[in-house]
Amino acid sequence: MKEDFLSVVEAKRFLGREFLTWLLFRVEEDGGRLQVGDDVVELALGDRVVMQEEGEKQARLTLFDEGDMRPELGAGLRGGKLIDRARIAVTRGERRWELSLDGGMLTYDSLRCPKLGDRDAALADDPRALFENDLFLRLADIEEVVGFLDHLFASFCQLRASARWENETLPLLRAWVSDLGA
Amino acid sequence: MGFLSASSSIVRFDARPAARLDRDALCEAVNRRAFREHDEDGLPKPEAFGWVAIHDALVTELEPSDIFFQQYVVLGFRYDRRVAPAKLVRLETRRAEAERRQSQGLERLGRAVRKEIKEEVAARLLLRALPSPSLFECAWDLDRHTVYFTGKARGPREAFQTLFRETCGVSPIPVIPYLAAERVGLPGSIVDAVRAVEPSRLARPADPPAAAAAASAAAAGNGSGVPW
Repeated sequence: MKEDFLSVVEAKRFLGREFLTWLLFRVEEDGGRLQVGDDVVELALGDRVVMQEEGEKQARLTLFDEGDMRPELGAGLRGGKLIDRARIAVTRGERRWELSLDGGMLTYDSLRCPKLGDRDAALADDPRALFENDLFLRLADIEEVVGFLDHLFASFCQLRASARWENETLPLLRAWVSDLGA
Repeated sequence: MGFLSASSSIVRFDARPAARLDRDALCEAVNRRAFREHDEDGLPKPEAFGWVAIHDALVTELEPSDIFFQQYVVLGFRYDRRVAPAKLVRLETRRAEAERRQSQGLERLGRAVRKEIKEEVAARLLLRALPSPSLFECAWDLDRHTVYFTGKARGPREAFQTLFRETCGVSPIPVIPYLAAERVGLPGSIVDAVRAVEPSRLARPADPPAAAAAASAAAAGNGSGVPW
């Protein structure tokens, strides 16, 4: 069972990497403003991207730059790599999350949530209640950003499973890759 | 590293609780697997892990009110590793081998004896090694069948999965993209179709040579690309 699971993890890792690559394509194409359910969420690429090749070689390329990463990003994608991890910022209204999204495993590294709101003065004398209050707010923050990313992943899956992927999205993605930073 | 840290890494697992969760029984199971530094013989272990209270890592006798929090089961997870320094093990092994040769009047020791000596030395030094503790947190959302765990490193993550399964009677499955497709509200036909797709090639056939040139140019330009 464990070996079966590990082989699925390896064989299907590309799915999450394609999702992350498609997500950055959407950020570039839509200016980072994405409709997520009833909300508009802004996504921005941060200063760190890890690209990885599929297959046996699995060559990696880490890009870390405060400037324009497009030339190297484009070169990596044209060379057959996909985006494996990327630092991204998610903003909804005044609330902002930062995280490194691991597309291959769908984990959320170095997650920074919005600041916790003002504390209820009535809790000031009860550290345990204060802790529970903060914990509940923080878990809600985590579920909110994970929910956005799940929603985007669902959109990707719908597209990826349809004929639109081959007929419409893939040509656009290839044109974007071809021109990225060239 | 916990949920309230300035920055934390979150790994998500799928875990479906029993239809009727017996809170007292779960609390007892947690207490049976609370963190203990020593094994049954009172000896330190190379790896020790167990549950602690999420609000105070020194609390290892938990009440249901420490664990159940709205729709969540919240727990702290302590993972200690105790390692004897490898160089010290080598030096002390040499010393012990020399003593054994002298006491038995031997010129050389057999492989099995040397192995036995090395194991004895490592065990002796382990008793004196200080543990290196790591603290993690987990929140099990019983409504959404989701476990959030604040650790990504393989050792603690695997220990956590084992302990969670033994305590809660359900295996937490990491929500990798392949499994996530099932959790985001898509019809079964789409889930099956996504799981069956093959990788798409994003580069146009004419792109690779240009890519090599661009990569060289980019690397020469600012040197920020670090292949490894």
